[in-house]
Amino acid sequence: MQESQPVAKLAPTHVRLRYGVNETDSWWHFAQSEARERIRERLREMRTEIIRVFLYDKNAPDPLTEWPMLRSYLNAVLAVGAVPMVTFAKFDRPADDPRAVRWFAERCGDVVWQCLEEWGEERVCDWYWCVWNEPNSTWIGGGLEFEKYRDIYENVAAAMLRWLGPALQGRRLRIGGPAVEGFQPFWMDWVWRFLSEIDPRLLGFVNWHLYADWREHGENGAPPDPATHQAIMLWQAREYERRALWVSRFLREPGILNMCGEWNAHSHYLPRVRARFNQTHFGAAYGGLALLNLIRGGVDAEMLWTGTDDGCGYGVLDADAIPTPLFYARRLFAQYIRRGDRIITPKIRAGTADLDGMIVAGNDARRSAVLVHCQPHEATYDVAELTCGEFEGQCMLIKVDGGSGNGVIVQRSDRRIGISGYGVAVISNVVAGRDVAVGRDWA
Amino acid sequence: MTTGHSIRGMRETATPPMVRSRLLYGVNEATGWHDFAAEPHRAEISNCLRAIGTQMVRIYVFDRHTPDPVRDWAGFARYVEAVLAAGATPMITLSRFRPPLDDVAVLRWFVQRCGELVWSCIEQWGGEVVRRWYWCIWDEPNSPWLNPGLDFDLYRRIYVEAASEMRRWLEPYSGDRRVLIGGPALDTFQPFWHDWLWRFVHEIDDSLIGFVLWHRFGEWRAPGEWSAPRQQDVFLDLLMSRSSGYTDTAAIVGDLVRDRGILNICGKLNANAHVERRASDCNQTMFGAAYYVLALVNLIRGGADAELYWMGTDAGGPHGLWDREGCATPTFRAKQLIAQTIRPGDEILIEEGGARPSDLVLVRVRRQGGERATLIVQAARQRRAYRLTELTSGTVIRQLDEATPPREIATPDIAENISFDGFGIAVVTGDVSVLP
Repeated sequence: MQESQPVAKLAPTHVRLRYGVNETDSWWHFAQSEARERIRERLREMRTEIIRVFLYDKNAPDPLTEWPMLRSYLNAVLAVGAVPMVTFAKFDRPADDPRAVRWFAERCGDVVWQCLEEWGEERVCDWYWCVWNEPNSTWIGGGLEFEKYRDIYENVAAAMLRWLGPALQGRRLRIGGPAVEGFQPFWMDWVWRFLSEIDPRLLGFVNWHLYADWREHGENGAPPDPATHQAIMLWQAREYERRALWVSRFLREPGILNMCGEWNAHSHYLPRVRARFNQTHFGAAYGGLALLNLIRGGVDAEMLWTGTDDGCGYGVLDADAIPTPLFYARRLFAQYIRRGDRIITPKIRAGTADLDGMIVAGNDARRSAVLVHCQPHEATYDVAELTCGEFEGQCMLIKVDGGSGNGVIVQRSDRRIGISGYGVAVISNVVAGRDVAVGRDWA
Repeated sequence: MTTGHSIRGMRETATPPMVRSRLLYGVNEATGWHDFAAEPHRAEISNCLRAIGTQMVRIYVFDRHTPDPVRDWAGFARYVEAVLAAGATPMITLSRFRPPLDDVAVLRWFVQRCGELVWSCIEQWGGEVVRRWYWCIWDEPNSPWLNPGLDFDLYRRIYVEAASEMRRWLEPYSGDRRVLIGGPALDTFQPFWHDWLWRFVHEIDDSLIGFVLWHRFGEWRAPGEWSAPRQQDVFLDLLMSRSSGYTDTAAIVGDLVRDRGILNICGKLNANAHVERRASDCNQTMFGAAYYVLALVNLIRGGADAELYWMGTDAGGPHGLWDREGCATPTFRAKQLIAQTIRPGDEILIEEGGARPSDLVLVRVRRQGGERATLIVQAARQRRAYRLTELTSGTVIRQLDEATPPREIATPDIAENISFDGFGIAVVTGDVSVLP
């Protein structure tokens, strides 16, 4: 059969992933605070390529009345060296009122026009535009029906095309949605209908969100024992790969990107609760597993929720740019697993769920094994056994774990490596990026 | 910044290996148990069960509309005999007990009833027979609709006590084999069903778990309900797209149980679980037939050990493979084709074509004896024709679609094309190519 393709895990042979973050509730710190330069430097260290920003929600500046603030928000993205994904989060008028839809579409079109005026066609054509945020969630996006969302989407896309169309010169408009909330039982309906019912020429990307849990230990049927709850969350990180592959089956054209636009371990409604999951070494391990599985699933971009965070319980940087363990884990990924790298071994496993990992090779002769340790206790592993002899000779070990303090350790890799509790470790034949300086300090 | 286009080639994948089927075929006999177990149509229904290769029949006790083994042992015995007469093994589901669920005296009473049921079965049918039976503890304990207030900690207590009591009677006949007691018969529509699965496997001693049971339907809503698409065509297309989800669920379960010697069983499946015909009549049409066939091949791909269709006999409802007189639906005929084409030990490879992923699915089958077959599933409502190549002499095509009754064509009568009037299934002997 000429047209048919075998159905299996569509394991990609190369890394497609662009790294990104959301900068939302704490956008002011990222855009205007005294720490902004340090924050941007940290985001560059994570090789951040896309930064998702919000309009019409999250206390974001209003484009009509606060354009200078919005300008600083978007300039902050550009200063990082990233491309913005501007999310038109919602409107507060009745969604089934055609005048309200037209009004919203006009507002979105105006923002595009203003951006073209401010930053020019060449730049703005590369930006991403996301229509609405979690329309399938009553809590977040108002609980729209898909038919209404489709109407809004098509109107906004038409309004944007009016301004961006002439500048695109045949390129695909980078507009997308539905930024679907992944806890809802029929979330996949939205992705399927989004990709099936909207003209593919109006689709630049499909955006889906996934957190492991929103419940505290013992809340709403969650396991009361913290160790059990955490173990289940880590086990479920494979869901990123499954969802990525499921979405990719329905992409009708190759230029439509598959994006995980929001993710983290936990989205409890109280910051202090979710911080215990997201901003600890457990969060680093969960994040590492999420990234491994997004890469295995062939996802084109991920955007962590969030980058900068002033007491919200999500971010990898606080208002003073002080990093969490997940920041270092992400930096290890970004430095040692880069877009375009060849995937040599997609899955390294030790024990049933103790350790997960991947081996990749770059065009620059860099060869790295990235390992995620999923247990709270200390463990030692035989490098040759883990990597099937891929790392014989002199290699370096770079890791963030319970023993590395608030940072990474860079040291020569022995035949056996130890990891203290939850963490991420890299065995590589080169030391990359910021770790060069860290290694010098440790030496 | 490089665009998605420039790294298109990176979606390339290696050809996946063929998957060896472990799948045993089965059905549930629940609300239609009386027609299934009693005259006048018991023989017809038994023939139906044999025709679809039924190796396991799930039956229910301690639930509504089923015989109570204490008060109606004769009724219960007929229920079991009907399973045995069809050449199948029963899976007896001890559905529930009445609240309060956390009352230790009530629990003790339930545990005793479970043990006595096993003992009575051994008395009636003998230990050598009964040790091969499956025993499922509870039904969808994670569903707040069916079991409000039942959390995993409570379920685990019920399970461990009931399983321990049942094992006491079964163990003398089991030898080295693990007793075939299992649960929790999970409702996978519930958002945190993974928690239950993980905890069931990790918090209960392996020696007390013979199998993990999970349920998966494509849908529970009617068009337009609870944000479901209002248009029937969209509703059904979306429902069909979910047939591939059986692979994922089977693989998730398999990931936890494979190395523990625990069987992975899909204990209920169908397209739509809705109880009203207006929503679920698709189950008994060629749509339902195509959905079920895709679910079966995806279960095989995911490594499931058995499947139990919801359900066999269904007097007037929208879920059965046949009615009270044994009159079959298209879904029955589709299962018959599959059961004859793919048997445990055979190997399969699934390929997809068409405008949408599941519009046209080919399943290449390599039998243990070396024979080959190609299963073609058109899961689209349009009339379409395909060209068959690499036909050999002696090729036989067996086809089922919306226009044709089941038919069998043997070469040299076969034209080199095949057409489907809407949803359809065909089995072609040999390894053929199918071109649009």
